[in-house]
Amino acid sequence: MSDLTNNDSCGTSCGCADSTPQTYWQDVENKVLDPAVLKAEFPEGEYEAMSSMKNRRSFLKIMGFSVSALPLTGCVKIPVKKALPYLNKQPDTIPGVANWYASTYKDMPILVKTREGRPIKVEGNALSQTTFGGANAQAQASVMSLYDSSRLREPKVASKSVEWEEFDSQLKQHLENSEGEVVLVTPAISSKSELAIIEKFSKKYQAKHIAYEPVSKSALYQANKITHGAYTGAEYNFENADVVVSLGADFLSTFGNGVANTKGYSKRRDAKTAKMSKHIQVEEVMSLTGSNADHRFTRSVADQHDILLGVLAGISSTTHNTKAENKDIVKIIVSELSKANGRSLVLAGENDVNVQVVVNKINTELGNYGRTISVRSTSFEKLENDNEFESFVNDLSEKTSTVIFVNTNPVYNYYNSEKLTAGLKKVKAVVSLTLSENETSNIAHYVAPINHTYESWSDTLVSKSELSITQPTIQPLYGTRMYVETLMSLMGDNTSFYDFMKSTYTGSTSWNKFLHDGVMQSASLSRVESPRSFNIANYIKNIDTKSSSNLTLSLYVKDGIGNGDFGDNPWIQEMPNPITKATWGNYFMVSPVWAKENSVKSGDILEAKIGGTTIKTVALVQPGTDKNTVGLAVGYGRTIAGKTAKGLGVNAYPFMSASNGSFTYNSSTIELKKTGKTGILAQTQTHHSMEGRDIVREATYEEYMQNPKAGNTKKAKLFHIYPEHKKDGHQWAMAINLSTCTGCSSCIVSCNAENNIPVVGKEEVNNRREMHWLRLDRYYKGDESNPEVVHMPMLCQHCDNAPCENVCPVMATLQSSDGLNQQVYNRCVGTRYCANNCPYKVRRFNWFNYDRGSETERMVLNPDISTRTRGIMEKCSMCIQRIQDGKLSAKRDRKPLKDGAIQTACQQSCPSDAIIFGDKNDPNSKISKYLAEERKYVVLEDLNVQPRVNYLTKIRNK
Amino acid sequence: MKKFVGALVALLVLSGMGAYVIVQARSLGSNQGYAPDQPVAFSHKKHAGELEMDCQYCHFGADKGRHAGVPPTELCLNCHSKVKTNSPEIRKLQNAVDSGENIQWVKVNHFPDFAYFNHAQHVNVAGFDCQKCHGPVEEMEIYEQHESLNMGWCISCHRDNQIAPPEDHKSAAGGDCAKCHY
Repeated sequence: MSDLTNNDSCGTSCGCADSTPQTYWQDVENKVLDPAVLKAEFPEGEYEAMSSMKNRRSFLKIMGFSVSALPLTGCVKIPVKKALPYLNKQPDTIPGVANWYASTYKDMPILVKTREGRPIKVEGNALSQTTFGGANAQAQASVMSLYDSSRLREPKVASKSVEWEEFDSQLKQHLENSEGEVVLVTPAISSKSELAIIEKFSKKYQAKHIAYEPVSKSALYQANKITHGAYTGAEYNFENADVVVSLGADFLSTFGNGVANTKGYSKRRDAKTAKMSKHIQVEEVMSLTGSNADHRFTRSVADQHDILLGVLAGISSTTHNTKAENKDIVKIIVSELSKANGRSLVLAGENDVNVQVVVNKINTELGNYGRTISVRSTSFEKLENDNEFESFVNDLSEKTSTVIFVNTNPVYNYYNSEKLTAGLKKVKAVVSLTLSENETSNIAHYVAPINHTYESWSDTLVSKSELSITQPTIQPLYGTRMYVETLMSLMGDNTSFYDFMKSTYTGSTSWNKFLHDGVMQSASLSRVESPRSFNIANYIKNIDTKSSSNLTLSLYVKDGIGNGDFGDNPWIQEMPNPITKATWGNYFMVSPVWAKENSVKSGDILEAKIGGTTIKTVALVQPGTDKNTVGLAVGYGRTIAGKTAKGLGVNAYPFMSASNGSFTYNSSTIELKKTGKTGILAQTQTHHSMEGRDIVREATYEEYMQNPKAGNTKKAKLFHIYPEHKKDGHQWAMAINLSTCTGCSSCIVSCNAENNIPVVGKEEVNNRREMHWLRLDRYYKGDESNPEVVHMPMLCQHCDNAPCENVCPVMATLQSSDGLNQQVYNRCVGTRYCANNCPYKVRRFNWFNYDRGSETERMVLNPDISTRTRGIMEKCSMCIQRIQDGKLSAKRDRKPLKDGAIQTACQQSCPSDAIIFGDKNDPNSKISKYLAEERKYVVLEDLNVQPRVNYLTKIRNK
Repeated sequence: MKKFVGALVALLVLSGMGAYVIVQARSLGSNQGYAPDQPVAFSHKKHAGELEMDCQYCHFGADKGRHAGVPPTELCLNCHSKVKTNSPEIRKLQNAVDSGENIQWVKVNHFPDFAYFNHAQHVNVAGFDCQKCHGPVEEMEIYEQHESLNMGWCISCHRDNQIAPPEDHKSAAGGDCAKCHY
């Protein structure tokens, strides 16, 4: 077991002022606890108002108004309020009652909660056999994107707004009369009906259809074509895998269907319920997936190649001379893999066909196909193909008549934007069908808005045996139109896409069931492909294992922001990155070793020379980064975008390149130099320091198997002065399983949406005033160059002896009879005593009346929750509105309240089912079983605050 | 003596003023008895009283969810597309539907945003008559707010009516803040 309890001397009252190294540490700077470095919870300058109030004049204005308004309040009658009923009510709308519609977001079957016709919350669809009710942070945040006021509202021809009829007729005339090639560029599409319309369009105008994704998996598809004969992706079954080896593949988040992968993976990470799988990760920068590995190794991309070939040699007849420093890693991987034939999984994240072919070869040798991986071909998908896009850019000429970009923005996210722009200038007409104006629509002659997913119809293949429906949950907000209907209209077809789609599902019962369930399973949607023989030698020799002594830039995809599509979503921007805990922007991720050598600190602005380009941004010293690698996230540095994304961070896409027929994200050499200036990182990390106490308890799998109490033997001696309160009726409690929590942060965004949590912006996050009720603490342990990581959700612990309660002078926070720590907003006067007295630092103060956006954007607010104003303290309420709703519904149905009927928002959204909530007085409830477990502990038990939130020891399989 | 009388008068005046302030302060923000004119001269006395229409014919949300709701205008026209179509008041309804412009009723029972109230809980689960809170609506020509609807009023009823919860529901409508405030 790790040495978790060596800080016993650092009890509750000790300030830990001596500079003793901590077992756990949060960032490089406070690894050694120095009081001067630790930042205060409420820093200096708290009272400095927001930028708009910074001058004396505005202060006087506000003061003047307050003083003159005060006497008036006494004699004002309550203002006249209007009640506007519907003129014609929709049959299924009852004011105040939520409706749920099955739909799809990207590759996740979901349910959309609507109130009075407005989508306000997204939850996973539990009927799905792919995601099993999981949904990630992007899906949670997607309702915010729907209302985004920077969305395009009308079609434009030559930058002039026109009516749809005008747009259609002009573009149709152009398509019919102009000679030359028509090219349709879309993202990867896996919708049967959309592809059928595109095919019709292609036939009519002899158009070429190209799928383009800036963050591409083209090489994987190409490799599958070579090894299995089908240009398609692979599906992984992590539940069947005893050993998972990943070389830079962030499979829990950005590589493939992260939610489906997390569901399967987490089923094998709870030591109590299943035989634990072993996860080995080798990567150059720390990813969410890497942070969950049992064995993680920091190695450059070239070293990963070396290890890959070493592993291939270890399990097959090929030979490879592994570098000395990688030999141990290869040995471990090979020995683990050889113990688990047919029950293992090997993945690589790199978009390189040679690497992917070798990975396929390894999986074939191990007999994994058909057990943990399947390759299935289907005609219902059009996947991105980097090669096709490259030749499209090369072939752009006067001969091209029209290029139609559908929901793609290559002028921003293609690496050679200049060449593309120059090529597009030669084309007779460029068309951009887009959600909001962007770099590509800026150079297009014809620009037209498209519907958001929640205003559209579609049918998506979410896995090779499951279709998921997309149905609109609101009328188009901004006069937009589905892109497929625009294509239909350009073909002179004025019927609706809905009618077309419905007609393809024959038999009304199956359609109605599909619409109701949201998903439809059928094995006949695809065909299983089996491995073919091929010559591996050609691919091996193309893999470069030479380490470079230069710094190499490695572009990575940030959780949440993804390829940049979510740049305009403030919830996602403010979601702390699960690893770096930074918000609002990208940064150079450098290794602690390099930082020390070059005396660079987090927050220093560095100037980078990459090829002929110079860019400047902030540095972040990230443990677990390869010393010759610099990480930089894609998806930032937008020049034409909405108010949130514009001008934030730097654009990393120009540093991509193409080789072996696919986009490469990690080949540029980079030179870094200090500028002497510092910038804002807006991290949420350092001000949640836990002062070296045994907050996290952990044990190894082996220890756990011998003694289920392993790592959790410490027991505080507690005594009570007062007799205990009676605890009858429902008594709510929560348990969080640290073994399965991956740190994906879906819970944070779900909580944002459910509880109307305001977005405060970069500057205020930097002032440590973020409002998230639930945060994910991330602790490091061990060596800086390759630390072990723990993710720990931290929220109001709903203490029975809550320290916040007895310092409140106005009784604004008190214990409820069912064990919740209640915060009464209308009583709160904002002394902040409670926050000062909270040992868990989970209370959030409204320093300002935060901007809730435009009137349309405010439609996303949950009407069952009040929006808090300035001067009010708030914190996790354990989703009291959901508890109340669950109780009321049960009473209304005259049925007992079933265990599991009430789910908190964080619990519902958790793709790894790490959060359990329920009534601990019910002996048969799931929570009671968790609370009886040997792994259960509470944080800061010795304070005797008796939290209702419990944690389960983290078990690592090492 | 004069001084004593003077002091007594001053004391009386002061305590009178004090009492007045307290009484006024207690009703501060209370709209009890509020009966504004409505854009359409609708009579609850006529509909609920004389015609004995069920309250929930119009306020159909009352046993289903949080809001009882102001009825959609088309619902009025269920009858009034045939009944009394020539009345200028009824014509306002038809005009609203034809023009697509909502009728702006004046809200009478205003509940503050920081408190949660659920009609279904009281109508459906507890089985209360609407009159219990809304007064003799069937006698009101112009609808008025019958009760104060302040927190003391809620609490006193919940205290007086210790509603026995169903066997399986261990929590009655209790005094916890977060039962209503969230």
